[in-house]
Amino acid sequence: MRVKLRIWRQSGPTDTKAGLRDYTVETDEHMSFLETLDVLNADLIRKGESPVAFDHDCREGICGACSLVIDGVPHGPRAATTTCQIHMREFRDQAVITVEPWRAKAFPVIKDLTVDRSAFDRIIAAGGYVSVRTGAAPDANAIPIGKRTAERAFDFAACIGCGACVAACPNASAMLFVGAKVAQLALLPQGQVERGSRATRMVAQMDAQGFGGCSNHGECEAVCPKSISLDAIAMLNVETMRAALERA
Amino acid sequence: MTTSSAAVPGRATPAKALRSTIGLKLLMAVSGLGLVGFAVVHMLGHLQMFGGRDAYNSYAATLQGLGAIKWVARLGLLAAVAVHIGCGITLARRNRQARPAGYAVRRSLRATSYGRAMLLTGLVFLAFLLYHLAHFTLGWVHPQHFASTDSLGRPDIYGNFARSFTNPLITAAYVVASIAVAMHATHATSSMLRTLGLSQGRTRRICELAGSTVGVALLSGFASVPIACLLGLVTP
Ligand code: SF4
Ligand code: FES
Repeated sequence: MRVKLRIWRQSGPTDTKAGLRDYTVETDEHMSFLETLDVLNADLIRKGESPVAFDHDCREGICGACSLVIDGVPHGPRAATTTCQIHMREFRDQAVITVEPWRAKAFPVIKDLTVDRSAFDRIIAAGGYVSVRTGAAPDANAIPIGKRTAERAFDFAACIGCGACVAACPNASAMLFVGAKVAQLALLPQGQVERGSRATRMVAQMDAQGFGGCSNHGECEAVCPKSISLDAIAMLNVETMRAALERA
Repeated sequence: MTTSSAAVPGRATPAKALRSTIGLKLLMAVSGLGLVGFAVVHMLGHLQMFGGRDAYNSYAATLQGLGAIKWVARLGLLAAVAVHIGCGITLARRNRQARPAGYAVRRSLRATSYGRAMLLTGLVFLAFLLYHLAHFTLGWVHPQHFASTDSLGRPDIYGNFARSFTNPLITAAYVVASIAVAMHATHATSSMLRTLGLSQGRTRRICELAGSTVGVALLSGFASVPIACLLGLVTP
């Protein structure tokens, strides 16, 4: 099969000539989308042109590195699926496919389709952790946690930090990501130590990074490869109120 | 890079929390809750037009007779409107700044037309609110419909309404405003319930249903009176 890729090319953070460029690629419906980009890059390198920069690592949907907006949807056409798990059979032969980077002030473009997502690391560093004694690994069931609670916490813990929620949000809000971590830790006994200040600190860092606010459109939930629920945002609001009231 | 220089915030204080995006959203939700509550009560009062001149004028006279309570309510509403607009502008600016460069192609999967039009419907409603106050509360516009009294000597608000709405332009303005309010309140209701943390897990569907219910109720309740007057079903 043959597709035409319209790819955002940008040589560096301040490239003024950045824009969409068209490439025709011979691919196969059994190839993954990233493999199609690999084919294109091999061809570009052969021609002495600069290959398209894009993020990827595990290519099995668990690391959160891959990050492409494909035809206007972060992570492409398949629900609850990362970019690396998208296959060419999702597209028609001769399809024209537009590929762009995540767009947000807090995620500046480094080159082509790669963006700097270290703003997420700074939000986690501001409060997305638990304090534990170091030493030997604790017994698996030393702290009993009910099954329902464990499962809810685990659903929130499934976030891979890809940033698709920000990319999809009309306000470039990071509240699904922040909410997932705050909710996960608020549900678990280990998360209680910092509970009083975690949400406030993470939200303050989220604001400082320049992410927008949530307007409850739900675009984030629709593109999240791990199907993190909007409940995360409701819980983030509650945890922020709770922390503020505790201080007051 | 400007974003990476962002300092790690210092101690968390309640005041800081209130100025954060989430604090502003909470203020937005609480003030919005008051406004939606008022809209529903106002709409229900409005429906008494169908009860005839006597029912409506006595209802209006009762409201006017509330004295201090009326003023507390008015000031409360004014404060809610001010907070709602202030936080709304701040949030809208932050949201716009959060994405300086947009997408060449963008496909929405979930966002609704009324959810996306909140700023627009809010502004339409604000313009309407000023007109509405000038019309019925202050009597500045269309005064020809105003200064009459009914047989008991009460201000004839019923007649004022019914006469005004025989004018298709006035009716059209009210119907447009009803649509704007209904659209705004539909997204607002489900949105505020999530902001207040009430829409979670099993309650989520109920909260979303509450949004559409409030929207449909406001639209039919508010638009029915002017339309009924225009069609001659309610006569002056
Ligand atoms: S919440 Fe979902 S979309 Fe957002 S960073 Fe986590 S996994 Fe990615
Ligand atoms: S490359 Fe790891 S999730 Fe896609």
